[in-house]
Amino acid sequence: MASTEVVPEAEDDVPSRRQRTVPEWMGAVVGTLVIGAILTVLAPNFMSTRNLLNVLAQVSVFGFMAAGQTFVMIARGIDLSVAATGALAGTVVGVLSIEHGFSGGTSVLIAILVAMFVGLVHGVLVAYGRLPAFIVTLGGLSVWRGAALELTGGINNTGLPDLVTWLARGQIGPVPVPVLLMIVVFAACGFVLTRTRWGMNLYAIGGDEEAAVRAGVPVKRYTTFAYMACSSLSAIGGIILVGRLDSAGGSVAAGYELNVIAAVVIGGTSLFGGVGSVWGAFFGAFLMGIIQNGMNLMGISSFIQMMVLGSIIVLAIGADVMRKRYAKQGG
Amino acid sequence: METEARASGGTAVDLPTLELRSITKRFGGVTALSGVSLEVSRGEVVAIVGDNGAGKSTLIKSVAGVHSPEEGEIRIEGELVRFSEPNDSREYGIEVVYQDLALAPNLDIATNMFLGRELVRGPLQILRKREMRRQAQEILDEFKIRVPSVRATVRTLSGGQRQGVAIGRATHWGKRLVVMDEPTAALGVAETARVEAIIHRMRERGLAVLIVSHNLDQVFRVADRIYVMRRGSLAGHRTVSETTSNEIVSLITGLA
Repeated sequence: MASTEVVPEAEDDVPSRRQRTVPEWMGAVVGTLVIGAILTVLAPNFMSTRNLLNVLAQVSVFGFMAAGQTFVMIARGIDLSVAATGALAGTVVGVLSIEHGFSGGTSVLIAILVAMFVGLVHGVLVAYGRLPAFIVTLGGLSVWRGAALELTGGINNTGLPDLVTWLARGQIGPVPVPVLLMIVVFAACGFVLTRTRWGMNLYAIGGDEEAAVRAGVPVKRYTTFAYMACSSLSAIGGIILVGRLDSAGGSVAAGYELNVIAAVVIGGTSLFGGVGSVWGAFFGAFLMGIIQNGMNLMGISSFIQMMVLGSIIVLAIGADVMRKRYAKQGG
Repeated sequence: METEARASGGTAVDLPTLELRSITKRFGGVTALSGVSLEVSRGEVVAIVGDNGAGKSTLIKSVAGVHSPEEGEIRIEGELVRFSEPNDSREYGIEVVYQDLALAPNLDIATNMFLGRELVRGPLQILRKREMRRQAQEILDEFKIRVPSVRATVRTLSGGQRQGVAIGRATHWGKRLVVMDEPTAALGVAETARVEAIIHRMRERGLAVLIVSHNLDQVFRVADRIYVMRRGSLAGHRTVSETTSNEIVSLITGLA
């Protein structure tokens, strides 16, 4: 196109490629290597394939929940009820299969549908009702935990169907089934978040919700889907957990929401939305797992472990706040 | 003036791209717009000027579909339309560049240009990233909007570059009319000149452009016609070549 006007060159407009920023999940990877090295020295049994696969199998429970939480947090939400939702799903499986004779597959399917409904309730209240996610899911934490306890009457069901036991404790070769399942689910989540319209739009919603609305992103619907994905993935975590324990009690996974949020934030997903990845959550969960495992191997009491866990969460979120502040100055 | 084009009964090309007739908008007891009429045609840049609170933003939002006026008609190439949300106006090829630009700062330029209207394939709506980047580059090249790369994150861009991205997006999707609310209010001298050059190119391409600006010098540089608003109604309408800055100022203030 022929254009005659002179376009002035502004100094500050000269193309200048910023140096590539470090990926947000790098901290978790470096942390894993450093803590791993320390534990290799301090805890003699730590660095063995068997122990690490075992850690991964333990991690898978809150790993699934962390993958789900990533969807919600990227869209600048939070789900405090992941552990309660997981417990509800686990007890639904237990009650249906043990007390009502449903097959393993049917029970798992129904449990996941129940979890999707839980996510739908959260999503609708947050996205359409404009209630704060923190409050909705804090209430949810109590409601779904209560539902799980009520469902089992406080009694733990044992003797879960083979499918659930296999999912939780089976092995393919030397690799535990939950670890394989976790890798497959994380790969799928990573694909959805970075390569599909919904995933990319969740980043836009987290980055600037008003801009997303004006650009025509179906913000309410997509936000609701994020909560549904979070609850469904939490359900998988809960089902794996009851399978590992062979005990579908309403009190399983109590307190896991802290591990989940820590894993996600350590993995570089921002509490302020718009930034993050499931692979970060994976490394974050693994880092949390080896810290816990290392403390177990060293015989550190579970009370001290609680204190360490709490400190890690505050540190991780502190780092997130600092990063946000730095990004603001940089931008 | 309004009746001319309609009376001629010509094809869509002869009719004004946008025609507002007696638009009235009330918020509770406050009348924000009363009986405002204006028109913009292809290849024409029309400016709306007026003091703060004169109703310029309300008028723009009525065109964008953010507000629905109580009275009056909006016609696009002669067709009577009713917009109840932004997506409605968009379907008629109308794009608005808001003052705060409405870009997602955490995403790259190409993604922002296609935000809400991504090119996808398959039932999973998998993004066609390469194609979107290619098209985004074409748009930026056409309007000589200089950015480091279509993969650069919006947060890393200067104010002028962000403005360029927002305008580029609007011109890509706005097949008929691009509305700009104070497009250079936050920009430096050189960046303002760039944006004005883009506006000239939009006119050359046959788009209709409606621009709100506080900067009268700018209005005289880029616009063909000026509508002056005062307290919710039209205080006057002038052709740039036949008026002066002083006359416009007195229309804005209402002082002779």
